[in-house]
Amino acid sequence: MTNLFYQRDIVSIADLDKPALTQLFALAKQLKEEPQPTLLKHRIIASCFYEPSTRTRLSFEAAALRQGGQVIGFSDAKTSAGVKGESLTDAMKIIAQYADAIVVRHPQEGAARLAADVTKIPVINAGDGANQHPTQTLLDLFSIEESQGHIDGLHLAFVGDLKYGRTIHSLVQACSLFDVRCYFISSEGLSLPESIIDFMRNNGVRYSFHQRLDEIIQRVDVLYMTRLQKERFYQADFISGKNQCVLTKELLQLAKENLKVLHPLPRNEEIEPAVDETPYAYYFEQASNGLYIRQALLSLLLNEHVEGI
Amino acid sequence: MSTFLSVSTIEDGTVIDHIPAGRAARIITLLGLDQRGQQMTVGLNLKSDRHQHKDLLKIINYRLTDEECEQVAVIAPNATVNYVEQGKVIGKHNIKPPADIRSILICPNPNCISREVVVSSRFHIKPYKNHVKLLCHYCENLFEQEDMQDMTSC
Repeated sequence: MTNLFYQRDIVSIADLDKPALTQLFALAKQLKEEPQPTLLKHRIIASCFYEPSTRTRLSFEAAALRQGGQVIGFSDAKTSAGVKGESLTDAMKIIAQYADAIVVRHPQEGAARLAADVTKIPVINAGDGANQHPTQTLLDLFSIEESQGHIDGLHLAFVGDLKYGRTIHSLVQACSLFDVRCYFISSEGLSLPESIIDFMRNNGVRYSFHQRLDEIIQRVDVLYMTRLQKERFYQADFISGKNQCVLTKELLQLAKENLKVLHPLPRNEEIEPAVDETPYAYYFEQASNGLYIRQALLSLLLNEHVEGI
Repeated sequence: MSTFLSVSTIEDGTVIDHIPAGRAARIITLLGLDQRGQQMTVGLNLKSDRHQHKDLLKIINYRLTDEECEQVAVIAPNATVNYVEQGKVIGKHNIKPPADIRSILICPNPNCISREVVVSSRFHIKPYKNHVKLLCHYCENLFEQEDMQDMTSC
């Protein structure tokens, strides 16, 4: 089968179709069961994080290293380039001469797209402001498929900060590729942006909005919880008070047996710690899947032919 | 019945008709017609067969380029463009919005990378029934054309 990812940029989940996701998930599953430690031998991955990250950055770096690759880069904007005021464009053009692929996280929306436009090597968006975080979406979808056995036909609930939560924005966009039913629950003032609603409407995604978690928990197969993204708030949009959509162990008594709870982590109070010990909690397996998805992605981007695909 | 002509005829130039009311000024600014001293006659809020009211723009001794017609189509997708010579219509241009538009407009998202770095803005035009929406190539936000600010107004 043709490698659908070779030398591509992964900037937005909207750039990927169902056959591509199928291929990626197949390799991720394969790598989870049977590691291939030389798939990135002699390759250099540039890890360019202009804003703080622990999980995503370490996950990408581990994905490269575990497959024989090398990593260069930086972990915050206070690098010599940033201090000297070098533009993103210039920095990306130069780094592209040193590495085989760039992984970039930046606080401004569109930064990864700009990096992809000005370089010839693959660029992976590790998060651009409040816009996209496509590899999070990929590991979320992979985790949903892994936990449920399929994606088509599922009922998915999205809870929390719908306005600024980029993981939700990306995941909802990806849902347009599948036959799913979506439920949205958020605090007042944190509702889904009009552009995402517009997208769902134009792409035939079935959805509804609700005020409380207990209205829908008995109907869904997947509960995708998120925390308040306080660092994304602009002054005019600041909202005081906690996220009122909290998942408790007691609420799970209403849930379907196959329900799985996902969360992009880190979490605050939105998931009660007692939930961790229930069979519904899937967020830690979800986090571990980030390694395999990123391994699969880097491998497919940098190898024209991959065994088993 | 009165045959009063709301907007005087022109001998030579371009007539942009069926502009939704209130948008003629936007077209003038976007094309920079006022900045380069272009002679024009403008009708605002005229009675219309198609809409309740419309604007009308007549540009004297100037023929819009294909690129300028595309820019008009972003503001007024259903407008008509007629070329006039010696008082007679000698050609029509069926305008339609381009696939994308670069450099002229500013992304309304204050956190879009295109507002900070030296890069041309770029928007993908998404036609809807009677209007268009603009998808920023960089931040992927979708905007109404009324939300857009052009470079000349900065």
